[in-house]
Amino acid sequence: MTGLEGKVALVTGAGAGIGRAIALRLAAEGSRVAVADVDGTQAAESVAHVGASGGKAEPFVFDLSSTDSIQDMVSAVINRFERIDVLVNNAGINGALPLLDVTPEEWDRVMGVNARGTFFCLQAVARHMKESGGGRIVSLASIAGKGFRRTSSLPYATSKAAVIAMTRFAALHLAPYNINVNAICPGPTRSDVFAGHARKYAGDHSVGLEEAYRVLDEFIPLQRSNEPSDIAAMAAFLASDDSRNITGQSLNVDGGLTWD
Amino acid sequence: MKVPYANVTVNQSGGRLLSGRVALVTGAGGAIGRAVARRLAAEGAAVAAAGRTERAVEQTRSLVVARGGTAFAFTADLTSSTGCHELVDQSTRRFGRLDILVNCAGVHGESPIDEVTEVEWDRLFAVNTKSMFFTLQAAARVMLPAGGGRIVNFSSIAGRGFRRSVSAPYVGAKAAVIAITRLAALRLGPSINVNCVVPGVTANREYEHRVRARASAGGVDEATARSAMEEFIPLHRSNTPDDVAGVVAFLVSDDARNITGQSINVDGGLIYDAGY
Repeated sequence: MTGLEGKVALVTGAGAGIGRAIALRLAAEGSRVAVADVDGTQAAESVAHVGASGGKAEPFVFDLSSTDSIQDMVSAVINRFERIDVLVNNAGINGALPLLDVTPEEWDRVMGVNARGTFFCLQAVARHMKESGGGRIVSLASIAGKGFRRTSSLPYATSKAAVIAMTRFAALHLAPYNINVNAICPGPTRSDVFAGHARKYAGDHSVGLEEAYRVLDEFIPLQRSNEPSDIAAMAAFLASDDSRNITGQSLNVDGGLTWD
Repeated sequence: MKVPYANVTVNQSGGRLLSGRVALVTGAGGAIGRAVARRLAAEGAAVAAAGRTERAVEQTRSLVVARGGTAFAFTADLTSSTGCHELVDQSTRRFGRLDILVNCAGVHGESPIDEVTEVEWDRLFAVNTKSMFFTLQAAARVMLPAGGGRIVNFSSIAGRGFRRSVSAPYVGAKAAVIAITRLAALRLGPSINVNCVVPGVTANREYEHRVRARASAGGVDEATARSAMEEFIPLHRSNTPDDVAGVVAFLVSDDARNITGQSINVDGGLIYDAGY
């Protein structure tokens, strides 16, 4: 029904968190999944999870900060699976430093992975999709790129705004090849950073994790942060037949925190 | 502690099972409303199909029933708040509950700015904005005490600055739908999700008529006429009513439980937040 049966999906950063949830969901929809990650152990773990739930996946190790590594990984995926129908550009990193302390190294590190790496992955896969007759590209941006007021890292916000801008441009220029390009802007999600906040709150206040989430989620209109599976559901929609006429959009999954 | 959307269990396997839920679809005699009614019924929802014209909504009902779905037809005049509230009352009495409202009822305007009359202005705002709001209000009054629900409104890329738009009242009325969607999402959360679909060029009956007219005027076949008309769309294709219904089905599903206040363009890439 979703049109994902028998498709080949490449998910970057699929070794953990949101990326792993996306790999699991696309596999559950019937796709074969290339689990690409900088960490081979975690990639293998995600592959094992997919296998345990009856899906098909294989691990690929690569470094998003190297264009050679990106190209090698994409070629390896195509060699193995013969094509790529869906790219989920999920790999990314967070920034840590406040604005006045941002160093050139921090700027280059965050922009290098989140903006530059995301683009060259998109380019490498789009070259293949142009030849094969089309495909779907979904990139992970963030509401940080849309002015979310609790964002802490400037390079991170800038890199995610760059993903939103490249999504629009790429959608327009790849549309003639039947390639849809969209982005997802998650709000607070119970993986990585936000889960860290919750654990810290739980420790500081001697409460359970659920209570910590309840307090931390109060400012969200729907009063719940995302599970990684909420983002995976949006990725599955954007890869499905139901969204065939949606392109160039950066869609928020954030419990109502932001609009445009 | 309030339990958001308490009447629905989250299906982590990602199924779109709407069985046991009741969906009220306004404008269900039109091409998009009919496609929405059919799709939600195919996902298992019982559908209250409402529209101005008895024959059209009756046809929608029978199409749903013929495919094994559950539907009931309601004739309604939604240009007054009374009509909106009566429809929601009737539908809720008939089905015993209301989980989903899809506000598809709408009407196009054609007059350029210098020809817009007060009558046309009032009619476009009455059908496109006022009816949407008061139906939403009536539905929210049913959904809130019951634990929650989903509301999907219909705007248009005309309401977001699409540069080929013609009608000022249409553009204004559809922009208002986006603004109301945002406020309603904030005020009706956390138990009701309110979102909006923003279609671009959609092949409804009027559009199909224009395709045939262009084909016969140019002495070409319909496919040629259609592709000439759709060349300016980045993906080179208009929406089918089913394309729009597919997005509605996603927005009312468990998959979209953390999406609210959003207006989602379905337009083959014509616009982004605004402009063209």
